[in-house]
Amino acid sequence: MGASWTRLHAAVRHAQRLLPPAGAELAIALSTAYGAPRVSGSNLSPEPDDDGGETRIMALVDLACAGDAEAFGQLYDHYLPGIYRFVYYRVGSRSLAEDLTSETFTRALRSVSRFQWQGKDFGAWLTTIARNLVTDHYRSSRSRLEIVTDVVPESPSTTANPEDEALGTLTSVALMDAVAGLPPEQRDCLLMRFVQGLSITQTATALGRSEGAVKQLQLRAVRKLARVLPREAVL
Amino acid sequence: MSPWEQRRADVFADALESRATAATSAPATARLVGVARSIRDASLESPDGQFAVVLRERLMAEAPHALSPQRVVHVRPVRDPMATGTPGRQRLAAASAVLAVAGGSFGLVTASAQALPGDALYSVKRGVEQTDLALQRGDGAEGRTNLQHAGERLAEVEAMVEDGTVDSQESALAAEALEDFTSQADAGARELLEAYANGRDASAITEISDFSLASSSSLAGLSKALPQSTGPAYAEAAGMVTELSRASSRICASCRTSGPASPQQELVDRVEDRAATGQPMAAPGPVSDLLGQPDDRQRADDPQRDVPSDSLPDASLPDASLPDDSQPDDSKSAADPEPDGTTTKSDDEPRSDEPQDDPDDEPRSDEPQDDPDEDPAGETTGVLSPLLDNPLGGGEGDDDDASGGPLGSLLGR
Repeated sequence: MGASWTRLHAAVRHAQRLLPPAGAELAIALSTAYGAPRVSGSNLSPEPDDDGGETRIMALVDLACAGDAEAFGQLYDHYLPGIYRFVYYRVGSRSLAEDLTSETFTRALRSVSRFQWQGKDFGAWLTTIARNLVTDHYRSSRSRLEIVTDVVPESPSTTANPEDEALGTLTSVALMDAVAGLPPEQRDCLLMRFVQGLSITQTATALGRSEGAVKQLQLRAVRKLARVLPREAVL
Repeated sequence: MSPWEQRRADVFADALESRATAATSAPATARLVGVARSIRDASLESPDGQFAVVLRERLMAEAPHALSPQRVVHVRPVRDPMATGTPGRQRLAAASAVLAVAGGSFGLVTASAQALPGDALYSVKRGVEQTDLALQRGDGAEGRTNLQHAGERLAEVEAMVEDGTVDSQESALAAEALEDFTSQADAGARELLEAYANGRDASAITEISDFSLASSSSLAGLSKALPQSTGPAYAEAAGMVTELSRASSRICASCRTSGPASPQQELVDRVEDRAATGQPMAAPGPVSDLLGQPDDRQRADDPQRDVPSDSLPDASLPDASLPDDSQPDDSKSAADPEPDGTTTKSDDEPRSDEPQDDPDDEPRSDEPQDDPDEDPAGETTGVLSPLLDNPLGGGEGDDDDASGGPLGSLLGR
């Protein structure tokens, strides 16, 4: 593994010296072939992208901007779970979450060629689109608002995670309900950070806030939850 | 917000990032981290598989149109999200996809088809292959495409050699191409073996067999022309080809379209030649073993004797460039100026006048190396070889081996 990583890194560096589209193609081919599979959206503290993964995403975005359909497809594969989860825990309904997720990626597809990479994170950009769509949805259907927000998320089976026996009697549904009851920005911050697995930086970009603000948001939100939750429920 | 509050926010953020929080943090912080972890663990929802596939197809159908650089992008607010998925619209998008693919990048793709490693367009070529591969559906299609790409790697190395450009920088690229050949051949063969196991599709085995024939003649032709530094990559490639040849003949001897595996034998000889020059590559032992010739020693004594040239119709070989050791290799030397002269010479008599750097003046001319002891522990054995160690392996002629046993062990994972 070590040897192949060294080779990969050398090759990717070489690729990056090529002309932009060509170099990106090569970088993708390389990191797709050798890059470790990444799990997105489930890490508490998302590991900073290893070089291969980050390079791969950047190359994919460059390619998609330049019109490569398959590159966009791979971005979709990478980000779908996180985006879906974020939307689902906002709206609490699978079919609505699927509709809004579809719309998120459709919009992203149509405007990715205008996506400016400078300092922006693609995952954060997608999340912003999703968040705006959810907001628009509620705005345009006020009559449904009360109904939808009151809907308890369709119960996923609670898994007995041996690490977290401490979760005890508190069901995951009740916990996610408590998250949904937080003030909007705190709630979205928690969803992005812990449900989607975005980093502080990505969350800051998606929320349009500073990193310091995101740190405060998450602290306040988690504190509030800790106050609401039975003490024995967590840890 | 007070500095104190910001400080606590920082502490909490740091605690989230660190792994061993519970033990080291203050109890209050640890509890907060526990809450955060609970949120992560409670969010069990994930997108439905069917939904994910359908949405991807829909996006891919629209992508060529939506991503087209010339297109004036204008984002239409879609009133009903479902509207994007109506069948009529999908058909339209699919049709435009075909048109865009046909028209849009045609020039670049065509231009890149001839690119060699190191060329500016080479990465485009490989990117096209990746896309090509991603588009393959159905039993064995991916495997065939992979083998095709592997063959292209060899063709690239051959072209580099013919250009006479294999200097030290190029040799790294050549070695890389050989490595890619090995992994693509491995992947392709695995997929075809699987297709064969699923559907007993005999043509899958024929495909592997034909591929190994063509590849071994190419590799044999390359053996003299490549710089020493490509030795390990070359040996792996050769090992892979030999394994594939052996695997295909074991599984389905009747599937083989061509005659005896003489190109492979040729390859073994070439590998032995290179090994004998002291190159840091895997030695011939395993390769010969893998070939499964019942009488290795005799073959090594005189490769031509076992394979009379009339039993090897050159026309049946996919690649007619297979050099014949018994003849002066004029065609090849003439076609290949080899300006750097560092790696090859005109090899009229490849065995007897080996390059001067031959460390041990083995009497190769009269007694080629049947040298199992020179084998540095059988490094040639490639990725497939563990799969090939099946108890029924009896070399050539076990026609009835196509039954479940050996194949099962080949595919057993």
